[in-house]
Amino acid sequence: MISVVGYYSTQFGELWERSLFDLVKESIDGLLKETKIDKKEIDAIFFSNMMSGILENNLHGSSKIAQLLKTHIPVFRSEAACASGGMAVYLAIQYLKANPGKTVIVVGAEKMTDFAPEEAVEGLMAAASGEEQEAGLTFPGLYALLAQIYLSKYNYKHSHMGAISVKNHFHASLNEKAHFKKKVTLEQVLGSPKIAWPLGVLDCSPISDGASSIMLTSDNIKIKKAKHTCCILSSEIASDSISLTEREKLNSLISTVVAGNKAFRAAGIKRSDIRVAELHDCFSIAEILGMEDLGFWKKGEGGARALEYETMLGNSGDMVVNTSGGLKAAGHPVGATGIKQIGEVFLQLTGQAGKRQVQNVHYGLAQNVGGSGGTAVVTILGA
Amino acid sequence: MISPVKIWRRQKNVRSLLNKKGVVLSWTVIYAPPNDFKKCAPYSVLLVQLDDGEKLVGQYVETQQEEIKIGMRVRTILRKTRITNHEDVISYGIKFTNEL
Amino acid sequence: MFGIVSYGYYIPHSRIKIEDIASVWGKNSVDIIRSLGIKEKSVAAIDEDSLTMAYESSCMALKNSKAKIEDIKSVLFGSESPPYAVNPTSTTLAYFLGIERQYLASDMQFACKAATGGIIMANGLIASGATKNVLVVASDKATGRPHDALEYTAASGSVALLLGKTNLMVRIVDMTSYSSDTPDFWRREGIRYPSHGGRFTGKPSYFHHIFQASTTILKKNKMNPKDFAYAVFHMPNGKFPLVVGAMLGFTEKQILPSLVVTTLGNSYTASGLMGLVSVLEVAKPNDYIYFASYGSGAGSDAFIMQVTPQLKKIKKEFKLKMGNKKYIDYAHYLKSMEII
Repeated sequence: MISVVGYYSTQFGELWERSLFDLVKESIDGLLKETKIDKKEIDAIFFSNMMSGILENNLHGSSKIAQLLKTHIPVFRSEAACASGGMAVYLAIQYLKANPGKTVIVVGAEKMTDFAPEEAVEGLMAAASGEEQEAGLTFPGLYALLAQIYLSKYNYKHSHMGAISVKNHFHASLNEKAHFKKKVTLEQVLGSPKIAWPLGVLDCSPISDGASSIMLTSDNIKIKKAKHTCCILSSEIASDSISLTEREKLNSLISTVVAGNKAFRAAGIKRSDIRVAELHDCFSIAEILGMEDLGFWKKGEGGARALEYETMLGNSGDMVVNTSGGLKAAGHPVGATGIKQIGEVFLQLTGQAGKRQVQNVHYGLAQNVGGSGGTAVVTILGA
Repeated sequence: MISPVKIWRRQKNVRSLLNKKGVVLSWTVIYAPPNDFKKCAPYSVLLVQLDDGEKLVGQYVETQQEEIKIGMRVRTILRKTRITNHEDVISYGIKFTNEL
Repeated sequence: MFGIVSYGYYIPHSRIKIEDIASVWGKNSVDIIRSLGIKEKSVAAIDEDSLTMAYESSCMALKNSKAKIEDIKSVLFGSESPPYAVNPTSTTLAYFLGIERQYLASDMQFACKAATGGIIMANGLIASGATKNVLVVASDKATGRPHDALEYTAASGSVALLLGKTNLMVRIVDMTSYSSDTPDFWRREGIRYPSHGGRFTGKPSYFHHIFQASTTILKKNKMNPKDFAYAVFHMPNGKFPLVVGAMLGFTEKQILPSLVVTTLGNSYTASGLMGLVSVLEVAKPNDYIYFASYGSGAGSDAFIMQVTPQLKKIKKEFKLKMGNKKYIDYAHYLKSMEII
């Protein structure tokens, strides 16, 4: 059995004084301190990051981490755009399956605020196809194209998506590590300056710095000794075309559908068993598509259910989504997000979520998407 | 600076898409552009399905946003895609305008 | 035989009114409109340049003719605003049109007569048998220095002529060229805006060269102005063509149908040719048309043309397309021209 025995995130936000690897080190040190496990007991490290090559001309992060920790253990880097974190966790799990009784750290980090917004926007577009870049598209633009199709097909308005941002900001107001801890109203979301019609600033996840790490182990002694632990019931990845124009459907991210089906089958549980989930709300529309693609909501009913705030803390719904604040309000340091998501589910399953704690949580899910749906990772955890 | 070789290779595909017609599947207007597109902003981008079935994305050159509707018919034309610093090789590509 | 097999043109969508430019500089627009004879001019969009416009006009010319792509073994591109100082535009244009490998591509510059010189050269290429057809394209996205007189007139547009010796819509009966070294209008390497000699651009330049070329060709062919249905001259403004026409003995009635500069401005290499297109849309078979271009630096290419019955076959949409326009203000004009 593979378990999560620890989680540590740095603050997410504009962290001027800390460099990318300052954040990596802070996250790893925090994790080791919290789990009271010495770095000598770590067998491998999985590092997730998307843009250090493009923005800073810094690659070979694995070697940089070896330098920071003064170690010779193997360090692996994975990149799948915004799904880099989820992919790193998936690969760490495969490593543990192949190497029983070992302990690994999965750390994800991103440094985005050192650069002008246009540079970060351009860097993020590396996750889209050349044709999409040549058309002057941005990620808000790509998701706006999906939003327009969804809103038009199912007869919804901007407010049906905007409600997701309101919910996630409310959740983030309870999360000290979130980038934005201020609540927002639906009027504010609808009236925020346009980024890519119809998406406004408050429909879009921000540019953030941050690092998150989790410790995974299949060493039964460590699992027994751990103060907090939960197990990985399944972790599945699916891919799809990088270009939106090559997708079979434009009202759904099939990579999420495939990964979700595989994950539920492997974990042997039902959709209704999931009590908390961290979904990939890079843009408000994305969380609605995610709920439908994972099978929690029927295709087309997402807009209406979002506007009812069904998945908000304190409401009587079956499931609470994005208690961390999601990508929208907690922030989206790209490489860290996938790991933060799993970390948040871990906190919920182990009763450590403080003011955001959901009651009676036995199973949780994390959905991490890369680009406009080119990669999707779905992880299911159990108490 | 984009590689001139990349632009040269890409041109073959551009040529094959000229003078084609299709229908708008979706559209957006970009207000926060990447660097090379700053001078054109704000601009509309369409997702179009050509009559032969192929789908592509590209800017729409008539500037009134109210005019764009899903289902509208358009045709492909040749325009500069990036408006960059003056040392680069110029990138020409496909954009859309109203069907004649 | 030599002449025009088909033609194409492209006028950008936007216009700016002279009064909207004049008001920025605190000038009296009524005076300027009266003295220049121009009310508004065409402005190419920020993502258009002389290549993209040449592609549009060339597509139209090719669509209007049955000539085979393989028979076009020469592409001549004339402009005063090519996208590159060094790198041919003729090759990019040819590529997008599907003309490849065994053909001659050449870029020409001679201010506003860059393309018409190409017509004369095309005659030689065709007569020698080197090629059946030649595509000559004029295209400009002309910029005037802010606050300068040229700011009111410098415009954008393109005209493409497919030339050959059979299936002619317009027969080119004769042509001549008059050249001299006259620095009336120029632009140095690396300098953004052109400079000009003010009133020096008139009598010793525009008027002298057109007059000389015209009197020579008319005398040689034993023709008089009254033998022509129309006269088309390069249009730096709405006045000069009428003055030079009068000097030669042409009437206003013969010249006015070509005076598109009033609402399109001066698209430099495409200017006179745009006037020619305007006239071809109303000309009748056997009509003689007189055409003289002018390029600063300086020279004039003069042509005696005659319309054939084939001209009836082409769709006459010029007036319609001229009217398909939208007005922009001065700030958007500066944005389109990348001045800001």
